[in-house]
Formats: sequence, structure tokens, C-alpha cells
Amino acid sequence: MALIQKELKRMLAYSTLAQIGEIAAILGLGTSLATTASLLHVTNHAVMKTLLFFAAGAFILQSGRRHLKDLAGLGRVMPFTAGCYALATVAIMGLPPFSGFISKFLMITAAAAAGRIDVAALILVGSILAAFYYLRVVRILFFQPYEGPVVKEAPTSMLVAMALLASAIVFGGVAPTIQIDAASAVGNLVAARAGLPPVVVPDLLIVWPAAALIATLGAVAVWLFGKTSPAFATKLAIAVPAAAFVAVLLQPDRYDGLSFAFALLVSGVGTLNMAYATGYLAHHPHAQHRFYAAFALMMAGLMGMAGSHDFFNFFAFWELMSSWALYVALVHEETADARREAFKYFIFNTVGASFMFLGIAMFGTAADSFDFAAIARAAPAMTTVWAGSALVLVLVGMLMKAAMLPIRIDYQMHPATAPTPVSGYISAVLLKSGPYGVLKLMALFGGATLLDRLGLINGQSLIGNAIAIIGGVTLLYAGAMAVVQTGIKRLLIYSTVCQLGYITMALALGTTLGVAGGLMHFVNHMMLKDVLFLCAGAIMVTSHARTLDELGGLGRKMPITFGIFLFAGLSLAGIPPLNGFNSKWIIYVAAFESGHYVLGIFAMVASLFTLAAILKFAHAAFMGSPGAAAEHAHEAPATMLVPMLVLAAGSFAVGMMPGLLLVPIAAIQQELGMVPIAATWTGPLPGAGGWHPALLSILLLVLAGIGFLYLRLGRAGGAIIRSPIHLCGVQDIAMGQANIGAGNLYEAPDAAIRSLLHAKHDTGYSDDDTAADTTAPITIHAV
Amino acid sequence: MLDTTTIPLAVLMFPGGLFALAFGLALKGLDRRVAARLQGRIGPPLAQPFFDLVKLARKRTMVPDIAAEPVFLGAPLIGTVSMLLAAALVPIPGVYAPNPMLGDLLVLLYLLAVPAVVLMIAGSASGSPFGAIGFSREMALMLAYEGPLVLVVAAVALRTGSFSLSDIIAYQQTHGAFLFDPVMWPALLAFLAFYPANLGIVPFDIPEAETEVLEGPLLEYSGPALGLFKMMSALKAVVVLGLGVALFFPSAPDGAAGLLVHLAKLVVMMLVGVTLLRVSMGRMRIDQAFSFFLRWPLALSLLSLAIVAAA
Repeated sequence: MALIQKELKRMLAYSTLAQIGEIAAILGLGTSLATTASLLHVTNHAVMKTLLFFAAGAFILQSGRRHLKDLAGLGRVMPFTAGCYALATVAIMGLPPFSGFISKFLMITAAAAAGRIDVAALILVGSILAAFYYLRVVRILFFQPYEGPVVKEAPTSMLVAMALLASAIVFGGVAPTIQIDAASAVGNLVAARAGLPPVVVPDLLIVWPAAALIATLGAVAVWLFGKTSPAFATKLAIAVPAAAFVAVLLQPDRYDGLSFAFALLVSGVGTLNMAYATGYLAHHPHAQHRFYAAFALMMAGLMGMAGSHDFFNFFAFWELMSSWALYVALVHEETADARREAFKYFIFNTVGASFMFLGIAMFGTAADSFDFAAIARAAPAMTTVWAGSALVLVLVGMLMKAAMLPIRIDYQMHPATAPTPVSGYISAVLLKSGPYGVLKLMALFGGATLLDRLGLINGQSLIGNAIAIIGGVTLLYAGAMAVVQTGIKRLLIYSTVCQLGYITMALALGTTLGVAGGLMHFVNHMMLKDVLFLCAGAIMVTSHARTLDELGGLGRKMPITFGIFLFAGLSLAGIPPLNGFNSKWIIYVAAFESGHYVLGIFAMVASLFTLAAILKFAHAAFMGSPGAAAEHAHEAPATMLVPMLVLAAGSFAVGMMPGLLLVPIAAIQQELGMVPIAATWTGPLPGAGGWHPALLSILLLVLAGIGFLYLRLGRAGGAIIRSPIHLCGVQDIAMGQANIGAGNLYEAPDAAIRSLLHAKHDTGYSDDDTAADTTAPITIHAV
Repeated sequence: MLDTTTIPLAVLMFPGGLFALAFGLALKGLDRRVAARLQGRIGPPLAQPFFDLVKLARKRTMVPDIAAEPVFLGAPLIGTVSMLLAAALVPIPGVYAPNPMLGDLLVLLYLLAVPAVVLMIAGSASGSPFGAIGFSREMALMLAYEGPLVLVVAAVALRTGSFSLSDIIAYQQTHGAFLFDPVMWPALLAFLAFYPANLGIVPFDIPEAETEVLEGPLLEYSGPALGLFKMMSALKAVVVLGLGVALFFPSAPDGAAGLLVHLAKLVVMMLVGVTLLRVSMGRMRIDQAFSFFLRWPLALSLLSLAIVAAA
């Protein structure tokens, strides 16, 4: 009912009904844990709802408007009230790090513990629905322009009350112990009266690794200082991930090898992207500090996830990373398009997280603990059906994050409307949390613990096989889709999904070589795809174009960007001896060695698709005849170029010395209990036919270098003559008119792919006024 | 660890380097001469490709004023050098086995894609619309023929149980060449369709069609840069044909006789698969070639993989 309400207060009233229903359902379970959980939620809910009503009252009092659509943009003129409203909304949706998350977690756990998965699932579905209407209000309040008379902020007395309630919500999320103790005391009382054993409340304290704490506090600081001293806040924004990087380095004991490496990459690449973002947004300073803060919070979530030792923390930080912080970063442009896409992605992530939530609750209750090690110990004693479905649920959540088929791909792809540095970060880093999680789970439940009990094919685990096949099909599909795109970012996003397919497939093979190849590609893709996005961002800043057809001939004006793009693109497409090829080579060999010939062939063919997509981009943007965009184009500023150069240099180094990645990977494999690959710092690639890329690279560079000198400087420096291009005598044609655009480039393959995959033409401008027809999704019949 | 004396030798002198270049140019000369005779012309002298190369090396390079110069000049260099490296990766049965540190069959397979890639980049970087059309056609053709090639190689590897060319050759030396193995015939046929397309000759010379797009990517090239492309193409012929020999018919004696047998096989493949084909056919349109490859060679290579897996 709340979904269709047009008035703010009525909507809130209906949603209360829904939430009371939830609480009643949990209370009806009758266990003492359920009693505790519902009590906790009642108290939290009271606080959150009161705050919502207070804030709603303040809006109505000050503006005299009660209809939802009239509230547009009020967040700008009543920032404090609206901020409290937003905080309460996030909390009541059950998102961390607020009190609503804790009590929701406890409720789901209680339902799972009572064996009532149906109740737990119902509540999760309810909260997905709730996300629709809560988020709608926040979207209206904050991300729409304000029109109308001047409205004053609410009176001080109201502000104080709201501040108190808001701090209670934050306190209840960060330090829930007092509340839980109180609630479990009542729960114990009930239990004692019914003759049941006392409540064992799982440990629900979010443990913040130093890096995550720094990033979170830093995010808040950036946001606050952004209002008063923007220049300082911008510098702070770069310092925050850098400090987090140091914090990870100083706390190596907190993380296992895999997580340590992941946390370092998260913060390291994060620093570069943040630096780039400050350059990217410099000419477009609208709400930039809110964006930096959301960006830093995402990193906090990722690092907290890496530093977690139990499923509760893992999930809390997972939600922190992929829910509201992500939404705020994505909606940054505040166009109708951005609002719709970000909303869609938020809901998609909520659904994915809900699967994971249920699975985690099932594991936790069966093991009486959320600790990773404890669950792994308890797993052999769980029934195969229970543990198996829990595992599948968590895996589904992770695979959705990694954008794997068969869920409709247009929903899971992160929106192209987001600011480019964050697009790059999502593609390169954030989505990697999926494969990272899959690997962690497979290591945790590998072999006899659980995976093998769920069925074997030729001695390999059924689940692993299934994931590998999902990865293989996805990489082929997304690779082909990338070829037909003309949107600047859309092309790169599809290519990301394709590369994530490689990583997921290789990790799921589970063999020594497969995991090594997957992890190496994990890092290579992180650097390469980030570079590609940053290059795309540099183009977009200078040209304001969104589709490749608007560009052409930028290479002469932006030689550094072009060079970096070409290097990273060809490397990603798997041209030897570059680093992207090296990791793909390991993946091919691993697929063939483990008997997955078809997957190996998929992988090899998809790399050709990547090549086609990258060359199309390079041609349409940098080469070809110069179009209108090329006239005013100029090279990106140093703040943007330096991060790009650092990442490209990293890729080059790894290409020359694969040991830089392979030695840490071998150590990680050792720690995960696998047979590690044989790797040395300066040594060749692993595997039977292991070769050394440096050899090819050096020969290539030396010979080509000598040749270049001859071409350029031969004949005493007069080796080059400049001439106009040959146009069969036509003289009155503008260069831009002679250009072959991206849309016309691959006619025959384009048509074949489109008819096979039923892909429609996408202009990259799915725009404001034609929202109805452009939201029609690309349907997939390929699977 | 690394054998530093023989790898540069293999890349620069034999079997890559000067040797492969000279032999590739000789193959081109032979092809031109025989084609001329088949068409009732006298034809150029056998050494014509050498003369052309010397002439080009002594000229200056013209660079279009709208071209991205470093890329325009770099493309032919990268292409030629990668073919020099690829030539050092192709074994000559009984004579030469490449150093495993340099790369394996998969590396060779992807190096073999580099000439097409640099041609595309060259055409695109020149800024000429003809170059862009050539680029577009080259990519379409590559998307069409690369799939069958991968499947053919996978079928051979599945049959022999290894992706190492040395193992593939050793397998055929004990079990008989795949040329005489009916199970491998579909793969062989698919390969026979692949290599004219990869070498860019009629009926598959669509990207560089002189009469349509004025040599496409090569239109704006002149002097030494064009010479590099000629070298690349000569080297590529040796590499692709050599790969075919290793995959399907590596039987040969050891020593100098082995080398002669190998060269004879390449000459036969060139004359039958290239010269005869190109004088007897007209050029296809790009969409015809695209659907041709996705129909027959793809079906043949899929069939071959299936029967190898079943056998």
C-alpha cells in the first residue's frame, strides 16, 4: 500500500503497518531469540520512525507541502532536516552502519534459526519493496532541483530533537551491545517463563579495521569540510584513501593473504581514482564533496569486507559498499537518466544482497556462529540440503555482483551515467568483490567440507563446474555485446562483464593454474580497465560526447591519452606479450588442462571480440578523420594523466615481470590450502609450456626501436614528408564528413551479433524526455 | 636459465629473421611468376620482391597530415617484428625446435593475429576513409576466420593431448601425419580455407582490394614504411604455411634434407593454396566472405572437434 501513496505522511503510516507485520511475524516464531530480535527491532523502529515523522513534519510545517512530488529538492534548502530524514531512511531499510541493520540482521537470523526460511524470505522481499518507496522520497528530496519560494530550516528545538534521534540511530549501529543486552534480558525472561534455555545472541558488533575506519571518518570529514573549505576537502579526499592504504600496510595481521592483497589494491587504485576524480570534477564543481565522500565510503566497505573474519562483518561491509554509498556516487549527475539508472542498480544490488543475507543467516544459525572458521568446522555436520542451499544463496549474491548471466545483464551492469572515475572504479575494483568472495567461499568450503558433497563431475565439484560454465557463457555473450556498442562507456562496461567472466571462470576451475590465472587477470584487469575508463573520462571531459560516433581524430590532440589507451586496450584484448595476454594465456592453458575445451575455446574467441571492441573504440575516438570534437580537444590535466600513467606503468611492469604478481599469488594459494604455482620474481609464467614474456617484449622493443629510428631519422633526418590524404581528387569535403563512424564500422559482424543476441541499437543517450521507450531493456535469448 | 645466444639468432637469422624473410620474398616472387604464366603473361623476374624492397628502402616516407604519426609509423614496425618473433616460434620438423621460453602454440596463434591488428591500426591511423574501410573489412574477416582457426588448433591439441608444437609433431611422427588421418580431414579443410584469408589473397583480399578501396590500409603508405608491410606479409606467409606443416604434415627426415623437404612443402602449399586459388577466382564481397566462414569452415571445424572428442 505504501508504494502507491502520494502523500508523505500517509506513506510513512502505511509503511509502519508493514513493519509491524514483520515484527509480529518474528514474534510469532515464539523462540527466545525471536523475542529478543523483535524487541530490539521495536525499539529501533520506534526511534527511526519517530525521526522520519519528525522530519516529515518539519518539511510540511516549513514548506506547507504534503504531496511527495512537491517535496522535490527540499533537501537543498533544509539540509539538516533532510539529512536526518535520509539517515533514518537508510537505517530503516536495514543498511549498515546504523541500528536498523543490526536488528534486521537479528530478525532474519532468528527466523532462520527457527527453521522458518519462508518467514525470512518474506521479510527480505518486504524490505526490497520498502526500498522502492523509501528511496523514492530521498531521491525527490535530494536529487531533484528545487523550485519555489525560499524555505527556512526547521526551528532549533525540532533540530535538536532530530539530532538526538539521529545520533541514537548511529550509536545503535556502531555500538549495539547495550541495546542488545537489554533486549536479551527480556528475551531471557520470556524464555525462562516458557521453560526454554536462555538466549544466545550472536556477536553483532561491527569490527572496523583501521583502514575502513579511516576511510569512513575521512568520508564524513570530506563531506563536512566540503561546505566550508572546499579546496582543503579536495586535498583531504585524496589523502583519505592514501592513509587507508598505509593503514592496511601497518595492519597485515588483520588480513589473510588474499584479503591483504585485495585491501591494498582497493586503497591503492582508490587513491589514484580519487586523484583523477578531483581533476575530472574540477570544471564541474557541483556537489563534488558529497561524491568524494560516497566514493571513500565505498572503499571503506571494500576494505572492511577484506578485513572481516566473520560473515556478519563481511555482510555489513558488503552492504556498506554496494548500497547507499554507491547510490549517492552514481546519482551524482542528478539528471533523470542518472536517477533512474542509479535507482535500478540500487534495487538490483539490494536483491543480490538479500540472497546473500538469507544464505548467511542459514550458515550462521546452523553453526551457532558467524565466524568463517567456525562455520567451516561446522559445515560437515550440517545437512547437505541446508548447507548446500545456503552456499548457493551466498554464491548467487556474489555472482550477481560480478554481473554474471543468466540474470538480465542490462539490470546488473552499473550505469553508464555515473561520473567516469567511479565507473572505472566500479568496473575495475568494486565488482571484483564478487570473484573475491567466490574464491574465499570455495577455499572455505572446498573439498570434503561441503563442495564435494554437493555432487561431482569427473572428480570436480558440481558447483565449481556450474560457476565456470556461467563464467564461460557470460564472457562470450558480453564480449559479443561489447562489439556492437557505440556508447563510450557502455562498450567498456560490457567489456568489463566479459573480463569478469574470465576471472570467475578461471577461479571456479579450482585448479592450481586456474586460480593463479584468475587472480593474475583479476589484478591485470583492475589496472587495464581502470586505465581505459580513465582515458574515456579524459575524452568525455574534453569533448562532452557520450557516443563514439561524435568523436574522431583525437589522437593528434591527445597523444598521451591515446598511447595509454592503445597499450591498455591491446593488452586487455590479449595481444602478446602484454600483461593482459599473459594472464589470459594461463587461463586458456588452465581451461584446456582441466578438460574444459569448450570453455577454453570460448575464452579464446571472446578475446577476439574484446580486440574488435577496443579497436573500434580506438578508431572512432582517436584515429580516423578528425571530426568537430577534435578541433577543441586538448590533453587531460596532470591530475588526470598521472593516475593513468601510474596504472599503465604498473601494467607494463607486470607484463615484463609476471613474477611481480605470481609470487604473491603463489603465497596466497599456499595459504588457501592449494598446491601453489611455481613462481619466482624474475621467472617465467607457470605451467607446462611456461614462457617468459620479457624475452618477447625486449626483442620487440629493441627491434622496433631500431626500425623507428631509421624511419624517423634515416636520410639525414629528411625521412618524413607530410602530405594530405588521397581522396581520389575530391577537394570540397570536410574531414569530419569523410570519417567512418563507430556505428558503421563492423557492418556484417554487427548484424550477425545483433540478430543472434537480439541486441537493439543503443545510442548511449537513453534520455530524459524519452524515458519510456529507452527503459525497454535489451532482452537476452542467448542463454 | 635463458639461452641468450640462440634466441636472438633464431629471431634474426634462422629460422626466423633473414632466412624466413628471404624465403618469404622468394615465395612471393614465385607466386607472381606462376600466376602470370597461368594468366598467359610473362610475369616479373623471380627476384622482383627483393628489388621492390630495395627500392622502397631508398625512398622517403610520406605521412598524411591528419595521421597520428607515432602510431602510423609504429604499426608496420610492430607487425614486422612480431612476425620475426613468430617465425622463430614455428618448428621445422627434424631441424629446429623453438626454445620453450620464447612461447608456445597459443602465443604463436595470437602473434599471428598481430599483422591484421597493425593493418587495422595503420588504416585507421592514416585518417583516410579508404583506410577505415579496409580496417572495417579486415576486422570482419578476422572475426569470421579466427573462430575456425581456434577450433582447428583445439582439435589438433585434443587429438595429441598437448598444446606444444613439439608434442604435436612428435605425436604425428609416431602415429602418422594428420594429412592421412580421416578423422582430421574436416580440420584440414577448415585450415585450407583459413590460410588464404589470413594471407589476404583473392578471393579474400577484401580489406586491401586495389580496385575497390585502393589497397585500403596501405593506401597512405610509401617508402620504408610500406617496405616493412611487404616484409611483414612475406614473413607471415612463411609462418602460416609453416604452422600448417607442423599441424598436419610434419613427417620429414633430420638435418639438411629435412629443411629441403620443409621448404618444398611450403612451395607446394603456396602454389596450390594461394597461386592457383587466386588466379581462378574473383573477389568475394565482405558479407559473402563473412557468412562463408561462419558457414563452412566453422561447421567443419566444429565437426572436427566433435569427432576428435568422440574418437
